[in-house]
Amino acid sequence: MNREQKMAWLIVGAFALALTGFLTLLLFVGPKGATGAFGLCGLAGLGPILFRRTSADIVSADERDVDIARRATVGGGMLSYLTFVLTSFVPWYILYHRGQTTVSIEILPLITFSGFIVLFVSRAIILLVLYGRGEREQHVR
Amino acid sequence: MSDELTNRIRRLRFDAGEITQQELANRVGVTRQTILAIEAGKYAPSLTLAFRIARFFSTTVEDVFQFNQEMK
Repeated sequence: MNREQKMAWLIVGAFALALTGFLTLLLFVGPKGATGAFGLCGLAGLGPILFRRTSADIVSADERDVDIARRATVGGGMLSYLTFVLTSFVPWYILYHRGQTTVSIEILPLITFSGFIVLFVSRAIILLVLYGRGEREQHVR
Repeated sequence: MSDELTNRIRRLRFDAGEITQQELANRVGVTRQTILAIEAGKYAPSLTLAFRIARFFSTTVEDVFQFNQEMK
């Protein structure tokens, strides 16, 4: 498992932990307070500290890794953009038809946050899937 | 029309004294997973890497990689 894969697992793990925390807190403090559990996603930021680059004489990433990272970023970007557009327009559409022409300020940071979280998590998942495809038939020699 | 890139890397490794994927990877400056993916036909290397692999085996790119194009 290379550094990129470890970082991707950390992001997925941090998100899973945050989601579990959110669902648990939802029962006790309601949706507003439970949203705070998503702060656990910040644990993913420890990646560069936990997984330092190996020494320069060992090849840790090459052109295939760059290609996989690029494809994962494009996929994550597309899903993030889709999420951003949907979370921007769907609430407005629903509220407009209810005769409400203003949106609560609380929704705005959530839209931005959801866009970013989808970008990071979907990029990590796509990256792991792309690496997984290549390693399924792994054999030495 | 379907394109298929096959290669003889496994055979060449065997002929070159059964060198491992890791040894080849170290010599051409990539990871073992990349050599594995190329051998399995799951990844088409860049022209630079193709030349580096061919040069390592002291042969030509055409000898290492074969491009099969089928017209449908």
